[in-house]
Amino acid sequence: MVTDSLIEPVLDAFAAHPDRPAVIDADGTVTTCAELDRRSRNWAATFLEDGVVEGDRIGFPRPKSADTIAGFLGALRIGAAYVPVDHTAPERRNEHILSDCSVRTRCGPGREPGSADGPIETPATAPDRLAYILYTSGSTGLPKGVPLTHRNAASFVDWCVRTLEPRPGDVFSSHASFHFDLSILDLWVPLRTGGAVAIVPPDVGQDPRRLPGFIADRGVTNWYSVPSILALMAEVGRLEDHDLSSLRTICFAGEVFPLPKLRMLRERLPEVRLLNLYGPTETNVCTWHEVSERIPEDREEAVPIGLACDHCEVALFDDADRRVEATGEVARILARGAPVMNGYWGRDPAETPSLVEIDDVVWYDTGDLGALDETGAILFRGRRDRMVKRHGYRIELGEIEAGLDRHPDLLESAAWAEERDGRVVIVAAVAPREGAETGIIQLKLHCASALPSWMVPDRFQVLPALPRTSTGKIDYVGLKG
Amino acid sequence: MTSSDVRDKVRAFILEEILPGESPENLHDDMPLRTSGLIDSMGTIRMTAYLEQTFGISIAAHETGVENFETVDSICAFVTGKLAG
Repeated sequence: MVTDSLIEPVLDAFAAHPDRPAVIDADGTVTTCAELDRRSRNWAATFLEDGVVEGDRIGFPRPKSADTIAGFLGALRIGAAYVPVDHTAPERRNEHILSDCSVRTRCGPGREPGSADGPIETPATAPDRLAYILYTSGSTGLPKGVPLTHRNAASFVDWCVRTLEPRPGDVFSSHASFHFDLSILDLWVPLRTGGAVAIVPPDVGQDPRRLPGFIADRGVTNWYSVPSILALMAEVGRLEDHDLSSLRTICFAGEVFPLPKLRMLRERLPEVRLLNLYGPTETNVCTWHEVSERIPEDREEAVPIGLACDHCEVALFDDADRRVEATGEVARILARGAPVMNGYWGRDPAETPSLVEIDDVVWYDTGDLGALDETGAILFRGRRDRMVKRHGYRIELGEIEAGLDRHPDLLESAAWAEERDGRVVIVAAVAPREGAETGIIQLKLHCASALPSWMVPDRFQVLPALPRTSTGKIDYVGLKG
Repeated sequence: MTSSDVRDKVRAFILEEILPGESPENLHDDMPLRTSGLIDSMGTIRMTAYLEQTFGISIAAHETGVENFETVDSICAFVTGKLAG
């Protein structure tokens, strides 16, 4: 099955299932396929009035809702691309994103569409047309745009349909923010198969005790989120007090699921398929592993990220660009094929270090390290660079440092990640100007205004000056010790 | 358990777990913690577990919002109410 369009199969599904629920908003309001179709036409007409033409970008700095999804559909209907933006992140960061990809128009939080008088013409399918841009943390301190085409996105959605076997009437959770790549599965799989997107209210989404009630109330069939919230849910969510019989599949991605917690989830939900999905935003999901019905008692290591999905190729390469096929050897994880981006927005692919050419074939270097287990599945072995994951969010430590460096009383800063009690903790060392008052509360408040909440360090060390290596670089090894 | 014991324990948790390294005198009991971004949702989850264990109380999911968890004062009032009730 090859569709090459993110939007056309969705419009077909709307026509086939007009009365089925398409979106269940955070407050429980149900929007049917026919209604979502109508609202998306209204947005499309509104964007055309704004002067949007095929290939343009439209910014969406607004909360998750049926109307926001209708806006994404409206953008795609007229051949434009949608750019989801975290409306709670600092304005400075968001303005950078919206100007970096020069959006033609934007849909702020309160904006409502006009009404469509005539039919909306959807341009003919073009697999290489831009569908959306997701911005991720950048090491220079500025977020960078990952542009994905209809083919990139549709090849992944096709794979999900083959693998998850969704049915009309299914209910998919929407836990992740729309600017996070988990949202692609959450939105586009149910919308094109007669299922519904159930938006998890933000306060419930962070609360492991309220999530089981949400799953039961909405009749969620497919859950997808980062492992951390699932681990908490398995531990303190009192799953046995809720009827979770609607659940067929739980997918998780974005970070390593600590094995003891995964085992707990497996035991509490023995009938549910558990899928570990892996892949950076640049490739979306490129490997997967189905957790067995019983996790062997003697296993101590986290489950594998698995084997390549069948819509792409994933392989390990050593530093001399030789393919690694031996068991246990730690090597770089590279991916290529239909779901992989062609380059970052506004940057020359030839000058993008993560796009590497090996024997005349271009691969995306994930920056992750892996090793093959005895079955040929890939085990995750950490990062090579300064990117960390906390609560599933991808964080470049350089972006935290750039945010700290905007504090007028700080001369320099260094951030790193540590593990404490199985949790990833971000620590920042700062050197204030002489005589400056920099208490922990002040530093945290500064970070809360300069960085998205998921980037604020957990701990601070205030030092007279940061230690340096003999070459004058910040001595991270000395700081961590 | 007196109300000053409750206050000491709440302050100790915040100073050790949320704001390690801060001087106790800089943590004012009426300082906004949630809406200011000083405590995030994960911090609230950890604090809830700590309060349940330390005081032997049971905190329902809907009680962990800003109305109870915004300041040291409001957290203490909430815990004291639970202990009395």
